[in-house]
Amino acid sequence: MDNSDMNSGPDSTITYTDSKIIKKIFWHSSYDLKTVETFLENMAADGYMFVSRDHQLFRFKRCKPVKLHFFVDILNDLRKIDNSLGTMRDEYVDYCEECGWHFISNDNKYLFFYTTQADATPIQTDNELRLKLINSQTLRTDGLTWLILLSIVLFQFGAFDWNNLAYTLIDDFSILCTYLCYPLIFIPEAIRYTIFYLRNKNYVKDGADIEFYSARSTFIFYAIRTAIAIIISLGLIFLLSDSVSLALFVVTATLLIITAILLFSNLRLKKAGFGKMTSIASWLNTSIIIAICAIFGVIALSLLDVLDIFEKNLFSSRNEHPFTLSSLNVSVDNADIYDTGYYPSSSPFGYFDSFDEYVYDNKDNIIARLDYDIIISNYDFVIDSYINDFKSYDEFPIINLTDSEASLWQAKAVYLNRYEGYSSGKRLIVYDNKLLIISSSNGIEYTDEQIKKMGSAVKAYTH
Amino acid sequence: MARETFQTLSEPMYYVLLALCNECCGVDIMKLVEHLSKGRVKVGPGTLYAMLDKFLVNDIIAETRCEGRKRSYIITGYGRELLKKEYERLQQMVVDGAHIV
Repeated sequence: MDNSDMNSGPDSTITYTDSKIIKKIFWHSSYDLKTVETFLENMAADGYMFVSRDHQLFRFKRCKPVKLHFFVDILNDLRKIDNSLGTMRDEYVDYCEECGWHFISNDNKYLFFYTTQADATPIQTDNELRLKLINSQTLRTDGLTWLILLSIVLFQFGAFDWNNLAYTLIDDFSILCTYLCYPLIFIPEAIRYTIFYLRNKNYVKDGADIEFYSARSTFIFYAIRTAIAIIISLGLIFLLSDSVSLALFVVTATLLIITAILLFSNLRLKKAGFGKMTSIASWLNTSIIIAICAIFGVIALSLLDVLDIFEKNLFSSRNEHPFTLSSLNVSVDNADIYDTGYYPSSSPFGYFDSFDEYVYDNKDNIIARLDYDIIISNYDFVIDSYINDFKSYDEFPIINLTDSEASLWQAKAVYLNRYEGYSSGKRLIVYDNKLLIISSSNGIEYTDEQIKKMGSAVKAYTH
Repeated sequence: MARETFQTLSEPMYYVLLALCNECCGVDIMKLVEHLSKGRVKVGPGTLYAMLDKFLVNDIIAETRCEGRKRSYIITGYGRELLKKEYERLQQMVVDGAHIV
């Protein structure tokens, strides 16, 4: 039910000057009823008559500027009415229209009315009932979303390997941070609503009116929240090297686009007589616009290879591996070498790289293999967690080898995982801020000379 | 239990029931409430709609007529009892206060 097709409003106060629908995004929470009413009144005064709403998207038609009062109501789930007499909403609307309120449209359970009478009795005079309706509708729309997102975040955090911090904090760091963005966005919203509800629960008990957040405070809240999320996301892109989660990049790009829309809408809002923005909000607007342009510009130039400032950071690049079969003088003549090295991972907690080299004969049999991981971290707890993770497996007991072997490797300690020899099993070689995990090599038993070479190469290896 | 909810009536409830001592409908109830309270109590259409529904469900009022979407109501015997109790309670409050105020 929608009166948007009429050339003039139901009471002929509104004269449309154009039938074209103008769309505008106005960021608000489901309980910011007063903010929405103020927004619609300002738009009407500016010559834009509200037509309908779909979540955050508002539709208007151009009209002659007019002073109106809007009311956003929430339809209560009342008794069922015999359908032969019309829908419950229509009957409810009749009640309101008899009192001088004109129905415009509804967005699910939200009903939009307006009146030209400055002294019209508000549609809801029972503040306790109104607060109850706001609460039930907010929990129904937003509460479920918050709960689902929180469950997803907790589940995903639980899925990380917290026994192996080296893996989680280095390899999964970007994903971890991406998931942190969700609580940063939605927890403040939940807190804001909780404060609103608890505060007003006391007010209405004392017979006072519901105190809604003002349009200005709503704008500031969203601007700050968006800015924080963007700063964190962009900060992570700059901090992370060599292995940037595509998801993080997509999230950041999405946030930037949303911010741009928000800012554009609010620039229009300023024109519509929203009111003087605070200096903080204005500063945020300007800063975010400059940051958006700068970041997109730099990233675009980097992608076009005009700038190589991000070459190491955004895309995988690596130093030369410390050693290969060839550098160890393992014969690879007449063989196909297949290198399946993985892209390295890097985070503020360290660096992780993996190297896997296969050598095949002409019958596709693996005749040699070199497989090792290297972890570099200034944090002992990160390296220790990797070693402890191996120690936690009972079927792979870690045996601390002799000092002579550690001496060969020029390392602090050497652990053997289960099997003797280098032809199978893993060795964990511990340096001051490095860990080398070298796996089976298919029949190659390393000579002392090769071990010394590997040890020197690892010690000299930097990232 | 539902009926215990109406042991005391709020001001708008009280005046709406007063208005429904005679058959009345919709906006007429709102006007009558404003008139009876000399402009002091105003009931919004949304509030009235919810209130009438609650009264109906609890047999405090009954629907008398239905012309299209326009419904008329009147207070029931049980409703009158509640109204009378509330009136007596308010009277007692005035008497108690008269000695001191």
